[in-house]
Amino acid sequence: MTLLFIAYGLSFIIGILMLVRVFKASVLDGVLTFFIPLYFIVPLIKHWSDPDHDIKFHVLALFACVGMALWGATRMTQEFAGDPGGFLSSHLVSASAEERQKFVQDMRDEGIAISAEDEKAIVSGNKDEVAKAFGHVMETAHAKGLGEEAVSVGAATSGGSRKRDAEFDNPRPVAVPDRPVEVMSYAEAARRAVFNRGRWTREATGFSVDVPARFRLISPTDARRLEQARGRAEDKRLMGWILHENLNLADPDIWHVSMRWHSDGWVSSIAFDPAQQLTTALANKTPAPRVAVSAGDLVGYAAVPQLEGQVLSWTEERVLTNSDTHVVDCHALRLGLRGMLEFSIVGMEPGSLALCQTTVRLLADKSSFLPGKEYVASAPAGVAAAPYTVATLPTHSY
Amino acid sequence: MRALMVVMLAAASMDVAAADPSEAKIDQLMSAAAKPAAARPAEPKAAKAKANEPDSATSLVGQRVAVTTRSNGLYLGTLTSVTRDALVLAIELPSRNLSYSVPRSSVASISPR
Repeated sequence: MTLLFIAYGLSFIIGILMLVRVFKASVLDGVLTFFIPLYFIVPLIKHWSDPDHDIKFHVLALFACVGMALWGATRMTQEFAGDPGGFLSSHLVSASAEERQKFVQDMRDEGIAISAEDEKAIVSGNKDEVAKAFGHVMETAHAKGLGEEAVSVGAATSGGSRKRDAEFDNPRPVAVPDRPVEVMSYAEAARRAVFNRGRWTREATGFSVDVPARFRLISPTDARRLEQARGRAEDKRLMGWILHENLNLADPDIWHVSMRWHSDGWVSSIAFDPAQQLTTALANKTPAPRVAVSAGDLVGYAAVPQLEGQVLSWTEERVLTNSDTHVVDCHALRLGLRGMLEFSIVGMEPGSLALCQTTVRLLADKSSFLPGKEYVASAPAGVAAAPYTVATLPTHSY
Repeated sequence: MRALMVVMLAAASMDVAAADPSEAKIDQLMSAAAKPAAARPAEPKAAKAKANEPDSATSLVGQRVAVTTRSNGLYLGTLTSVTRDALVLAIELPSRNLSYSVPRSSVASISPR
């Protein structure tokens, strides 16, 4: 790392000296060299034989610095890959106690569990203790798993010993790794949330969402923080929130789309009769919804279940528990080979039914499964079937 | 300057044309939701005239019916009363019995079950 900084420093000084020399020859060339990359080639050639203004030795020295910087960066990467704990500890001991404390907090913010003993050792600044604490923290992190990021890193560093799409290939619901969700105020969780635009891909699960231009996607970690801050129980299937750009995330009562992944297996797309489905749903006194729903009883279908292509959509009207308030819950589910991707808005005012339906349907249409993980009409060999079908899902009876 | 304005207008119209119809609809619905509720439009004359005709739904009072709505909705329950403005269904829920009113303007069809 020191070599890298020396190379940067030297190249900066040589660059200034070169610029001064070019300015002395021509102000225009100096300005152009300053603003246009690679323009230095012009004064280099122009003044090649002029002993007062030639910059060939400056350029040569600059190239030497670039080579040194590259070598330094390569060495640093190798050093880190070989012994991450030792590398970080050797640099942390030179930092101040406040910086070390902040480093610990940043790691916790990233969801890495650090015990009180390890924190004490890291903050102490003792090189051996810091290295030991790092080793312990990394062992714990690997043992518990760190979600998708850890899976990607694990696959890259351990020669792919860890299966990348373990989440997708497991036909049973996979619990999200026990990453402690930080307890914080909703305002703080909203402030920290990062908005994603464009295509968002979750390779471990095998799907991607082309986030519409006026929408923003909030990652699973941020979405869980927001849910936690709203006092909701942790949703292990939650893959993120998607919300319209006109809505202010700082408002805790904002409506949003919950994106959820059900890795329950292949879902049979048999024919269904909405009237029969509603009869079954109303007769069921102990419903067990798989999809996200409002806390209340089903009154009817504000829009009957429909299967169009590989997207099952319907809207339920519910009356909230201990209240006379009616709300609508909109659902659009894209079927995949070994599960389904859910887009749901819950607790919307019945007056916003069209907005609710159009939004979930748009997002389902904008989502897709990666090659080899798309839905097939007939039961695929070697793939477990889900304990429900497109006919039974809207009834909440399986 | 005029040419520049023409090019900008053309670019803006191309952008609108390129937008997904669903996205455009969502924008419209979001704008409508943000505006204060407009005064309810006057009931069309045809609807008023229809309201004076004999109501076939009254014959189903007391029966279990399926009501479908214009927004492709479906409600099942026992028809308890019929008024000029609404159909009232008794729906048995797990936790209570609900008296649910479906506005006549949103009813597409009603049939016995």
